[in-house]
Amino acid sequence: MCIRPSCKTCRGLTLVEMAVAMGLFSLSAIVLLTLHAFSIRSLAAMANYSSLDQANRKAMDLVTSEIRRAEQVTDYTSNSISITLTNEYGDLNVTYQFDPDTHELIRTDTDGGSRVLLNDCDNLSFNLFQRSPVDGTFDEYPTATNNWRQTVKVVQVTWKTSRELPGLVNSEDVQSARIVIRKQRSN
Amino acid sequence: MKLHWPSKAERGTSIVEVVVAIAILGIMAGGIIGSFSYGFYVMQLTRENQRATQIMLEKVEAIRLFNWDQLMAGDIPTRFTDHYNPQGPAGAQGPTYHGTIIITNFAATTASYSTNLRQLNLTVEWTNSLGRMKRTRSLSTLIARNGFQNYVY
Repeated sequence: MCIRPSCKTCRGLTLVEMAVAMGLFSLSAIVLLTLHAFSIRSLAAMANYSSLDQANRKAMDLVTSEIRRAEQVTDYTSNSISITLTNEYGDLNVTYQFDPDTHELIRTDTDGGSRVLLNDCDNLSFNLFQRSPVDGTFDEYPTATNNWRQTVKVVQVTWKTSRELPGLVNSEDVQSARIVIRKQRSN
Repeated sequence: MKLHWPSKAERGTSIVEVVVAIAILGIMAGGIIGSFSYGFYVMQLTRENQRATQIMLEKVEAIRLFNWDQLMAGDIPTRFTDHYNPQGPAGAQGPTYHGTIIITNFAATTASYSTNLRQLNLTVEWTNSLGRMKRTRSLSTLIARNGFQNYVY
């Protein structure tokens, strides 16, 4: 059997043509795959930013509103704070506890409520201050004793949340607030 | 065996066509990457704006604890600096916010109570970490002589 092309344009590919074609195909495939990976990582990072921001704002709104209308700070560590609120049924004790192992900020109250406010918290700190400002600064004098009920007037809270993706994309969000207890109970 | 040789319309693409196609693909890829970069830029700007707002509110909250005499005596600082991530290690705290506070007479009215009011203008400036652009946010509020100092126990 003899196969013979009938015209010049019907011939097969030469080695050079094949090499060039494969080179171009490889180049375009690499570009497409890189673009695909970049798009996926970017979308995931943006989704992380968005969900972190949503959770942070919601948690910050709750923490600031409850501390602002608290009557007293009843207990404190650098990772947790307990406050007394008054509602229609009387006193309600609320505790915010940060767990560094699970990276969670948890709110519990004496009505039996318990819920996780933040999931991806790297660090969180509460700092307590007294009523009097330090001259020439925006700071107040820090609480010197553990008599929290009598002395704490200002609560500073700062935290950072983050999520990591493969390839060193790190979504993080920093929040801070200084909250003055509006109407502190005197005893 | 009889082979069918393609007609002109059935032939493969030439190298020129492939190069043009790749160029178009490259332009599309550039557009997609650019849109993502712009998205990250806007998102970073939003987060920095939010931090600026938080920092301004922290200062105003601290000013609530100054009484009228301290206010009139000029005890409130007129400048401050803060960072995007104050808990971060030195050199990795993100953009630095420079704040300015100006307290003036309340000139919007000549009513008798205007002497018991002061206007507070707070401005923070920082350099955007991605675009290296100067950014500014400001906040204005009033301080009343018999206002929030008494409201705060």
